[in-house]
Amino acid sequence: MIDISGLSFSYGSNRVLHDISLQINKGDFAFILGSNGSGKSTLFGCILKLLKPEKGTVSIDGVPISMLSERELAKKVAFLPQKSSAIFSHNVLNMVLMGTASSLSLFSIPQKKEEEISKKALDTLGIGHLINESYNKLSGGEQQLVLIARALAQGGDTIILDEPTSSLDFGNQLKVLGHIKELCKNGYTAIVSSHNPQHALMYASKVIALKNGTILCAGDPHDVINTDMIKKLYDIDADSNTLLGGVYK
Amino acid sequence: MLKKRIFKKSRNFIILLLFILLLSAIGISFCIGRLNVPLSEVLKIFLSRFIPIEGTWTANMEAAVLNIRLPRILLACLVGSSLAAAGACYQGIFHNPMASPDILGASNGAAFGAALAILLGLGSQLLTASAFLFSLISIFAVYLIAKISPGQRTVNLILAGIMIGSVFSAGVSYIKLVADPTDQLPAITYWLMGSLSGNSLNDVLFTFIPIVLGTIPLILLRWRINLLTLSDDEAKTMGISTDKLRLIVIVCATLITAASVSVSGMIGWVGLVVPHLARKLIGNDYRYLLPASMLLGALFLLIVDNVSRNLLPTEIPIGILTAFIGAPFFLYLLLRRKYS
Repeated sequence: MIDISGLSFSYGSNRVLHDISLQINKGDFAFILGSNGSGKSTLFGCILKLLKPEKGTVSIDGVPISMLSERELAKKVAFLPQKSSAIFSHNVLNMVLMGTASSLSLFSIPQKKEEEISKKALDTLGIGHLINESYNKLSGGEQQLVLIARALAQGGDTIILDEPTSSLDFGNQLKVLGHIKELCKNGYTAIVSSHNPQHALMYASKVIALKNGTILCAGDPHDVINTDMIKKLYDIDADSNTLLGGVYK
Repeated sequence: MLKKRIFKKSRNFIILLLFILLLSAIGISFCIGRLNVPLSEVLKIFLSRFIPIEGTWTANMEAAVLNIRLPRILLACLVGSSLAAAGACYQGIFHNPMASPDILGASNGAAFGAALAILLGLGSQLLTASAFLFSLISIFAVYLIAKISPGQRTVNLILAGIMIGSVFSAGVSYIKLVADPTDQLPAITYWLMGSLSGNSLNDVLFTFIPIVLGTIPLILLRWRINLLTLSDDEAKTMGISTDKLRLIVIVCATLITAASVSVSGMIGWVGLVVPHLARKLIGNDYRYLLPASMLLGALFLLIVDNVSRNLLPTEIPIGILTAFIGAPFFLYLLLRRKYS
């Protein structure tokens, strides 16, 4: 469970997050919607301790993250960037093995046990056959699944994904989101940032709409997402029929 | 499953093969030279240091093997493996396939120290020490500038490396200008070309200590270097203190680079080409890449040094040869690269 209260963050004098408070429960598949620059990535940075908030606290399972070391936090929360950009390609097994780094001491090298964990993670996502492939040669969808497997190997039960479907084709978008939904049914908590309200309607258990660093609205996707909200969130003026063929009521 | 096991075995096998090749190359290097010494005599000369053996070799042979070839072979292996290891590490942690050991200005600093020592008429041991000192000074300056300047640390390091490097290189040019053109200038020029000749076992020992001190942590941390090849945010959220780990790797890689160039002069291309060749052979996993690069670097420099001392009646400086062999080879790798 993630509990954020009174969170504010500024880059210099530019305030990016204003007094954000929200709760994400275990098993939630939370979607953070918002236009570019609305503060989605900054919010992730604060949850992951990559950025130091100006005010407010983030707690995970009741423990403020300021009390956790990088390693302890890594054992609870995993992060997937939009794209992993290693200039030299690793093979899939090694990519997933890296997820086990937080449970290894400084000079250790992964052994059988870590390899088993990694293989299990790959099998969970149905990509065990890719184990010896070169990561950079995989399709975008497969790359995302490998990164999710790495997150599983990391051992925590919360996964934060930065626009996981932004570079995928339609089929792979649904496939990746379907896998994440499946994980949430099995007790994982997932938080994704997204530019697609339709995906939120299809998969999310909770939606948080961010605008200019404040929460515009939050709650069940079917309660929250409607034409009015879309217009406000993205500053567009259109009727419900124009907005993606009237899927939003 | 099976495929994977074979793959893993084959990587260990490649490392073993490289090791055997290196041992054979070392054996051959002891035998060939202006004075050819049969392998059996080489072995006997070494054994005679520990157990009494009836001498079947000449005093010249013993002098060639122990006083000339032994330090030189050791040095070729040490310098080759250090430059390759440092290059492989820098390429990974700076996310830059063109990174080489002198990216932080280590070579230019060493060159300045050596040129200064020659200008001041210092002996060979002081020359090495001066080169080592200035190499460390230049890297320390680079690190300091990168630390206090705002922005992205790794980019700052590279930019500061270029800047400090060119300051020292201007210093070398100035020393060349004021050096005595009959003996000092040629000595400086020759040093800059790089050579493994004329070093005693003491010189080898001088470089051996910092190289071992720098190499051991790199070997121990080799798997973690993989994580530094990812973006910082990824590595941090996987529980890695990226700043600390990167600093340790930089310090170690720098130490072995400084120790190498201070005794061998400017030997280019080894640190760039050898890691790429090792990547082709064994992949990008530093668990295997680092040992493979080191073995391959030692092997490469040893072979090139044999060419340098045996091809022509007068020795060809090894720095010239590594460039002659390294650059076309790199071009070959570039042209036959199949992936984007």
